[in-house]
Amino acid sequence: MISILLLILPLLFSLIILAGPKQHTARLSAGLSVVSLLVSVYAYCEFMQHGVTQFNFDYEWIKNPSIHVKFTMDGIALLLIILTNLCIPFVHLSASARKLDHPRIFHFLIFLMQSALIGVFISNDLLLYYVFWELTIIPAYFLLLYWGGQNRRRITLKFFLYTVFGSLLMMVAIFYLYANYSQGGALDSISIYNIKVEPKAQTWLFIGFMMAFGVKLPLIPLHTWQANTYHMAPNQGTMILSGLLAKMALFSIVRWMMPIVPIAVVKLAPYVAGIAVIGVIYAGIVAIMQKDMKRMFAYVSLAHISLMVAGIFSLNQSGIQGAFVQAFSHGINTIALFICADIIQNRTGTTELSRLGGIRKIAPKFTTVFFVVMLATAAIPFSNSFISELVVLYGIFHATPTIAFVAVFSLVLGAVFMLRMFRQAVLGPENSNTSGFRDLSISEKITTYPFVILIFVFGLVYQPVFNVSTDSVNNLLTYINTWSMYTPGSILP
Amino acid sequence: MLIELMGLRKILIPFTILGLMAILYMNFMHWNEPAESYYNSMYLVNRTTTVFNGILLVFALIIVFLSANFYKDEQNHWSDYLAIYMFAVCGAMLMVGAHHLLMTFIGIEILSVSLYVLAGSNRKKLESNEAGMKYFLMGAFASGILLFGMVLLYGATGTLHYEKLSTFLYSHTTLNIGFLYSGLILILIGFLFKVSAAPFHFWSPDVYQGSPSLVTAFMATVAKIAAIASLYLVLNQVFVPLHHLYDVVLIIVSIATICIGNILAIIQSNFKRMMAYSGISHAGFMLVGILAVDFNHWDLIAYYAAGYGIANLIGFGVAIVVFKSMQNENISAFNGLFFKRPILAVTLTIALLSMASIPPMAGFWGKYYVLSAALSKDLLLLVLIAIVNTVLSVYFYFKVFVAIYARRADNTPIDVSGWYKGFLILLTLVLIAISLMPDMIARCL
Repeated sequence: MISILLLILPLLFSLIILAGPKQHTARLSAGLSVVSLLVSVYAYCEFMQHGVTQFNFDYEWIKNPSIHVKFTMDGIALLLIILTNLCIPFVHLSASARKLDHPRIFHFLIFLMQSALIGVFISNDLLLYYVFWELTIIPAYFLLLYWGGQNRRRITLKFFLYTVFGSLLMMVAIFYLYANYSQGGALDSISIYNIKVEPKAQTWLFIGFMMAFGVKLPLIPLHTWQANTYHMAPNQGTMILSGLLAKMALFSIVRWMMPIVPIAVVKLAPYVAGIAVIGVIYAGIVAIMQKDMKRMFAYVSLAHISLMVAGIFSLNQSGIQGAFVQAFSHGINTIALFICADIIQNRTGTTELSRLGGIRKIAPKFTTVFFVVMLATAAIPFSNSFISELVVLYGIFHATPTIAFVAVFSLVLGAVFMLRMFRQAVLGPENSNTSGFRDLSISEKITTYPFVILIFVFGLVYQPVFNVSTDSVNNLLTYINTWSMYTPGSILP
Repeated sequence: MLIELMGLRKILIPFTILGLMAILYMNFMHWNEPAESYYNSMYLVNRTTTVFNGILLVFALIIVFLSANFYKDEQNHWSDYLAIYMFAVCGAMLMVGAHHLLMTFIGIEILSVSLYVLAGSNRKKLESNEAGMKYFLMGAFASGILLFGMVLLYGATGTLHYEKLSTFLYSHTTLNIGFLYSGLILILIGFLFKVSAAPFHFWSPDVYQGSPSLVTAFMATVAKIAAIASLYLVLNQVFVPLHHLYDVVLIIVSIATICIGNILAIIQSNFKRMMAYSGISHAGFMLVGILAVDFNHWDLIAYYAAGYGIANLIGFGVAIVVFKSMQNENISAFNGLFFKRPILAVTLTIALLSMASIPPMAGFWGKYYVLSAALSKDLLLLVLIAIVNTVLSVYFYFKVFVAIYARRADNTPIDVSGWYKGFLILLTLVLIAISLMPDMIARCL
């Protein structure tokens, strides 16, 4: 029942917002979404005490193709749901500073996205999962299309065509699985462990799935939509895209793709990890050269997510679990970063680094918050992403030391681009853009201070976050190892 | 089935609706009884024809509802138009129910002749006249080809009755008569013209654009679905033994249809023309269904047709009122619609999302059924081409969304009555309902 509640609540709130008052929509939505957060905290407590079984829900929706409305939650899903519900209230609240056109529809769409995201995490039926996966894009599309900045029509279209193209390749893969392996039944997280797809088909299915995930993450060379989209999108949209939607693809790799095509995963993992690490270095270098803060954050996000992908494809426990802990911290950090960028953009009307500077003297509180968030993104010790990044690197090192050797440079690069950005944006002399910079208002304090606390709390409390995913990852790894060992033969088509 | 009325204009629409509902009731009356045939077994009633006819009748009902608004300014010819629509529906139902190729031909002709008249029914507009003329010339040609094919078939086999033909073809498997093959190909050409499949699609954009919008909606839904259903029934009831002959033809034709429909739709700026090309591509998908779906899974094709038809009718229902107020039939007529008429904008959005086959809308399930049937017949290349085309189709449907949500509106108000909006909302709810229950036809069987 809890899983249903988690899914339904945002939908309910979205309707309340649509019918609600015109003023203070952002605050009202933030207040409502706290309820979701409380429910997910309750779910976490239940999970710790009784394990996963009480989240199950099963109802036969469609007979042909056999689709069940079936919800379960494993540790990884729970982690990401908590992340989602934790961040969404702040996303809502951060919109209160700016005057938006049609605020009710704006918040309505954010709630819809939240619901679809949770649907992706909890659905335990391949086609149902795909339905939710696609549903997440539609609110995102309208959010970007109406509230976006310059060139929004062209950029939104590019974003949408990329994602739809990827998703449709995944759709072919799913159709193929249903046509040949489901035997008229549903494919859920148990039966995908038993279907044993023949090795040659696995490569094609792997490519189909990876195209969808690679666009969403993004991985190079499928990342070209990202910087433009993040730059143009309303900041709240960017927060959700980078902080939450990208995690959906990470989750799907582990939850769905790896059990379905284990042999292809084992054989192709070094290549994907290699591409990902090239992405880390590439994104780091490009980020250093960016002149705009939001574009730079996009590349920072690309670098971090590529590192997580490399961690997942190291196919060992510390790599995968570390990647999800890092995903958790990355979600918090990126959203905090974009909230800071949002504040700067609202005050000065620009995010171009050359037109900023001198904020430190007039706005010390903001500067402190921004400083902490910046250091956390650069993975300084005692910040939340420090340990997880180390664990991921450790995992990669176990799998392929050469790749880990290259990936370590990401830490150096991270420090370089974050510090450079901070110097240009905040330190230095004032100019006409920044001279009237107000310090944080009360609602902005409410939005930003919790992130500072979260960064330090999760910097110290690491093991509980790590342990949540232990069981699921162990199952998966045992399965992959046993099956790929006993099935020799070429996977090349 | 034939309703002709003189005078008494006020009760015209209610009477037509009541009549159609009565027919709908009669249609489903035989649901639990075994298949029955009429007119010397030239017309067959079984569950397949009942479902297809039911879909056609529901669409006809919707069109009649919409016509009340559409012909508001033309009170004088109202009864004529409605009578012709009813003739056309009659023809469409004959096509579906026919169990004899001559009956099929009569159905096609009743439908086509009515449509020729309707396409040219806006006499004061040059485009409408052109559409009527063009449709008539090309349609008559196609009917001739179809009839010629039937004649050749008769020469080869000595019968045109579905069952007798089928037994004949089964018992003469090694038969190699040029008449038979050329007859089959000519019949196929005739049908492919009616469903506007490439390379016989050239009439459809011009005719769709020129005809009055409601007639376009009728052609895109009732006429197209009747032709698809009829082709499906003919091929699967009669020509199954010859499937090795027409399979390749249908594969090539459906690939060409899907590609041409989607690629040419991208460059259109006229909404009706765009819908014509999108209709062509959907016809291509239904041809894939005809090719790949087994005959005992005919409900999948019916589902695709129902989802496509309802979405199309909502689209045209919105377009009709918008075009009327804006005096403009381009996509730019929708500019800023969301801020002028949010309800119209949202219903149109849902309909187009379904046509762009975004899950979990009906269009998605329809494509799922068709493409997974094709996958199980090892038509991987066809499926991949279809998928690439789906991405293209997203591009042009979303051009409309950009107009609705992201462009500035001008100040022209859009007149629409309350009940019209209510009706569109009802249709949208129906679309959502069939989207959520894609197996509903199969469950009823």
